[in-house]
Amino acid sequence: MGKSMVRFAEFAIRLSSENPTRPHRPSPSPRNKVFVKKTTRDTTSHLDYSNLVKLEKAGSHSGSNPAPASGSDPINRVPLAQVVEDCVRRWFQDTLKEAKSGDVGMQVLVGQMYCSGYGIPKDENKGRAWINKASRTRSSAWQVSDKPPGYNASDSDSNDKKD
Amino acid sequence: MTTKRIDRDLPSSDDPSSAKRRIEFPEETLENDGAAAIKLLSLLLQCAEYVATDHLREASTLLSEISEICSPFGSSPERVVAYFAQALQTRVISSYLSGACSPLSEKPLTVVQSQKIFSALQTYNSVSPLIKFSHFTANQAIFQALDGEDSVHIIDLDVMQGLQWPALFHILASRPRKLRSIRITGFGSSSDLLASTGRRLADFASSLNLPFEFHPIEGIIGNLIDPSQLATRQGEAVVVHWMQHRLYDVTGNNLETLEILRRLKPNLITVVEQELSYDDGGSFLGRFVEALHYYSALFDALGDGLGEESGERFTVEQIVLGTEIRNIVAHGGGRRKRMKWKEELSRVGFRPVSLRGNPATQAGLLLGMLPWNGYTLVEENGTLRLGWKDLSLLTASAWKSQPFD
Repeated sequence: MGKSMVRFAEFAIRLSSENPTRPHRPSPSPRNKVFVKKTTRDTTSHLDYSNLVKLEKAGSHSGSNPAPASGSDPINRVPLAQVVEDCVRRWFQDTLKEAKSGDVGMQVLVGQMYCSGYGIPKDENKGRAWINKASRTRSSAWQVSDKPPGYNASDSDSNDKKD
Repeated sequence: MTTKRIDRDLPSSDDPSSAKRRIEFPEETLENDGAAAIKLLSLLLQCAEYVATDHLREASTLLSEISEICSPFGSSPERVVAYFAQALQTRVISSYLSGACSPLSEKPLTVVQSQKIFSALQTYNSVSPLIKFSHFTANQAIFQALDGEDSVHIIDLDVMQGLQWPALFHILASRPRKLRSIRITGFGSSSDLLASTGRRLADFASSLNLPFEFHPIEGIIGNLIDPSQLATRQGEAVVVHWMQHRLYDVTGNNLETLEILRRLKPNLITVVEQELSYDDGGSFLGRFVEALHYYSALFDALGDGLGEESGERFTVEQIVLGTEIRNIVAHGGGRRKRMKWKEELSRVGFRPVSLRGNPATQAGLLLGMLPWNGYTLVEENGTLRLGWKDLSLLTASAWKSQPFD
């Protein structure tokens, strides 16, 4: 059974790639084996599953991959996704500072960030509070916060005109 | 009209604190290697902020500055920022011109556009496991659902070149119980491309002695004028398959799509979704930042095994990822709210089918045989999730109709 499963997987790989040539790797590493970690976890879902099965390539996190021969990527040790996350967090902190100093545009922006959960854990109550605060200064803040960019609200504007 | 538009923009420039705003990022927490990336990303986020707060002139100025620094041929941060900046540029221009956002792919793709995308997807398939994961997982679920059936009708909402189906044909042909008939109805934008897909699939089925029929439907399921084109025959098992993407619109009228699926009463629906929800009340900012996280992970994943000068990577990034980024950033939002398909399928009476067991095992075997490191596979509540490091990329799920009461 295990053997036929492996053969099936090999066949599927070959079939799903019409172009059979594999990408060239400057320093190919031996293939990693897949192992299964099982942990018991309670679930409130009506589906009666109590195990979390995680299939993970062994060594994918602890192993250090040799740098590619032609690689000159400046972020070898800091993955881009992590840099993005760090940047978004700083962005939020900076926006929050300006919102607290009374900048209405930044107050709307902070409200959106709280509602989206980017740069800060999601908190819709705080998001609405900031947008409410902004709307006390400018009554069109709620309109602006929901309109697509490019929309320029004015106090006398009517939604009907946009549709 | 342009003059009028400029006049309307004048009040925006009366807000000096926003116009003069510059994000200052201390760099003590990152090594020097990260400094350039931080600068690029901070400029990009500043630009997104201008767009989100309706400061289009400031956004345009910043886009000019960004385009001088980054390039689709540079490092990972340079490439990601290049594609997101292009998308913002499209957004700003369309905002100036019409003050409204155009829906995703208002007109169907031309034959040349489709061929270009299909070719790039094949390259994508040769450098990453995402498409294989989608095909493999769905095929395994379909195979299990067809146990005991001898006739099947598969409806592929977006058949493209049909690359998924030869593998299914092979495992079906290996069954002790022979199939009496197998037919595929495939949706696509071009009757010529559909015809060539049908011929290819027929040739392969013939080589396995499978009785095969192909039914092309030019168009999309949610805009179907004649639903009887999907009529099923007595005794046929019905399977619907849908691999989601942001390259072009696959469903059209979402509510109509859901109603058609409900009335089909399929034995199985297989769905592979991208982990992009952006149902944040239509917030541009939420959509932008979520996409930035998601596609940064994809750029990381593609870059891990390929050199900086890889032509394959450039093709995938430009045609597949770049198109999706543009569709999300420049054309997202608007009037049509994105469907939460899992919730909607449950609402109209579909029940989830667990992918634990064989589908998960097979997907794990598949991943273990591929040369790339860093991808992860998690089974959770009967769905399978493919990720890169700690970020989820795709979720495969399966559904069946509620039996008659």
